[in-house]
Amino acid sequence: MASTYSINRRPEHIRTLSTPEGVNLPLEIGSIGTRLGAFLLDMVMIWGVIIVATIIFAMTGFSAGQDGPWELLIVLWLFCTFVLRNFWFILFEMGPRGATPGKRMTGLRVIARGGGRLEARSVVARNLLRDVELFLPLGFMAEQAGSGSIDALSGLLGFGWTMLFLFFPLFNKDRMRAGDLLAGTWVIRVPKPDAGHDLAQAGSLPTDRFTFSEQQLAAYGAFELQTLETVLRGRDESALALVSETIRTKIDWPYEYDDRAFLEAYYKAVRSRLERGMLFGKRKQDKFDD
Amino acid sequence: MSKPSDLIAAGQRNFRREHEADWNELELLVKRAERKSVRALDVDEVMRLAVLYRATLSSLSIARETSLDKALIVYLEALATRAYFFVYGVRMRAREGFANFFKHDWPEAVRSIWRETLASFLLLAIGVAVGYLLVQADPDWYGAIMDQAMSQGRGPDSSPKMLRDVIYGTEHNQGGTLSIFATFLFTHNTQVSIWCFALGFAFGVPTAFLILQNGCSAGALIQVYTSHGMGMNIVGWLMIHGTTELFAIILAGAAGFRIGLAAAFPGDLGRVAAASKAGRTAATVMIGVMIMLLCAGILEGFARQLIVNDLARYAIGLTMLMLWLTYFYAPRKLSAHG
Repeated sequence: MASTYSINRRPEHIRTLSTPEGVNLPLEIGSIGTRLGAFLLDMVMIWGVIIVATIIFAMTGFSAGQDGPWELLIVLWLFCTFVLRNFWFILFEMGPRGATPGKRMTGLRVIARGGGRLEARSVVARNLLRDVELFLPLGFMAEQAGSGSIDALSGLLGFGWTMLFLFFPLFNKDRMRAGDLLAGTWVIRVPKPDAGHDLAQAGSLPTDRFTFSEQQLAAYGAFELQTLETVLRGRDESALALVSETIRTKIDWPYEYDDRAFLEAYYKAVRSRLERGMLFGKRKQDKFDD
Repeated sequence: MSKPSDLIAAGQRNFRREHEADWNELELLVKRAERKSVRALDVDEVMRLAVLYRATLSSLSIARETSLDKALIVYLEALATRAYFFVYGVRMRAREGFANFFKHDWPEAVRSIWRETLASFLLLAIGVAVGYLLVQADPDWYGAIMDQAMSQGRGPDSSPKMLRDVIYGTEHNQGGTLSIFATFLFTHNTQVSIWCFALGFAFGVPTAFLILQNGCSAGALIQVYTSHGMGMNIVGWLMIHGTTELFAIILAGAAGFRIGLAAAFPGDLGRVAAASKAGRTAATVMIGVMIMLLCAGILEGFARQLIVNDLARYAIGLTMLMLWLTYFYAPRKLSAHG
């Protein structure tokens, strides 16, 4: 379960956006799975629209009978399917949100590499490429299979072509597909986390029961503290028990019946110790940091 | 009166309390802008968004320096990132962007790929010659070269009357399939041009093949008509829209070659930077190509059926060609934009 607070976000997929204000913001490159999901959602929606449009056009045509505006309807249908296939992605990604409905649902957005302004031509470039990355070889193979004459060589070539482009994002650290490379774009995931409540303020438990010595508090640094925060915010009681036991062993704390109360108290105490240090310009990154 | 740890906790409680209203307000604004568009916000709200964005960034800086509350930091980072794209990512106003595209971006992009355009044109010309000569040598080639849907049933075995009827549209006008065919042609041509562009990625080889093949089809068709003494007529029939359409295909091929060249010979920029530079130039050309194909589709669907006079067809075709050439290549005053 990918928690929003997870500190296990693998740093190699985090890029830094330097804002003009001089504050750096982390950008998370969208994972392949999320992007595939977004693409499939978009395809389902496109086909949904095409099917509904076809039914509406057909019904309009039939209700008008033989002399109905068939020609106009067919022209409209041809045009609509064409526009949907080629411009669904382009028009949505040119919008202010920089994402198709599928990407929106999965929290993705398209940005210019490095965080600059996303230009219309970049959006056009990355989406026109999709045609040869995916639709062309798939259509080609479907046609070959459909005619029952898929000869080994062209089948193999089509397959190789598709695989080459399909796995392209796996072979670069920014997970760009060929279209992204050409357009100079990244697909990033922008999470919408909750600020939550401040654990240092939480709970009005009598903390007198838990008094820690300086040595016990110095056992851990910021990294461990934030790992502990993740566990405390999570609902996994067995993880809680495990962490509690690990910490108790490390700081020589006797048996504890209420793991959560103990961990909350320890969290508060360590955090205030570390934050006090920060005020004086001392940062203890992790337990190895002295 | 109290321990220092309590003071710090109280300070952080105040920090949250003092700024939380700003964060929430920004979140609401961003949410609205994301759901609809920035236009959903009025001028004051857009200004407010920028102000709140900067306030949130400074909250984030403070939190990073003084707090170890990871949830808070992650929240502020995500909120600031979402707001950033509205503060800095907002594109030019649509109308301005539109005018700029026609005034500068498109012709400049086309001019910058003139070498590729020339190569693409030569390939097409070679294709026409090859198609013509092949069918002349052996009419059986026609079937191999020509797409069934595109030939409208015409072939070396067609009667002169049938050939004539197609290009002067005496029967097809009543058939009622004309606009369907024109739409089909437009979507087909656009698809071909997209492939010409995108397949350039494979070092331009498939693009060259596509251009040659398109030339071959035209050459084969011209040969069939010429063999019945209607060479001038078919050229007029092709030209009325063909100068625009083939120019568009040539440009799409040139855009593909530009990408292929950048992929093969990235130069000083490095492959990634070279590819994205070429990709954006080529994409600008491609937006224009689609506009040209739409023009060609209109000429093909309507003008060609209404105008059956050969001279008028030549005149329109050549005028269009002159217009495009002037628009793209005529020298003009240097702009501040370039």
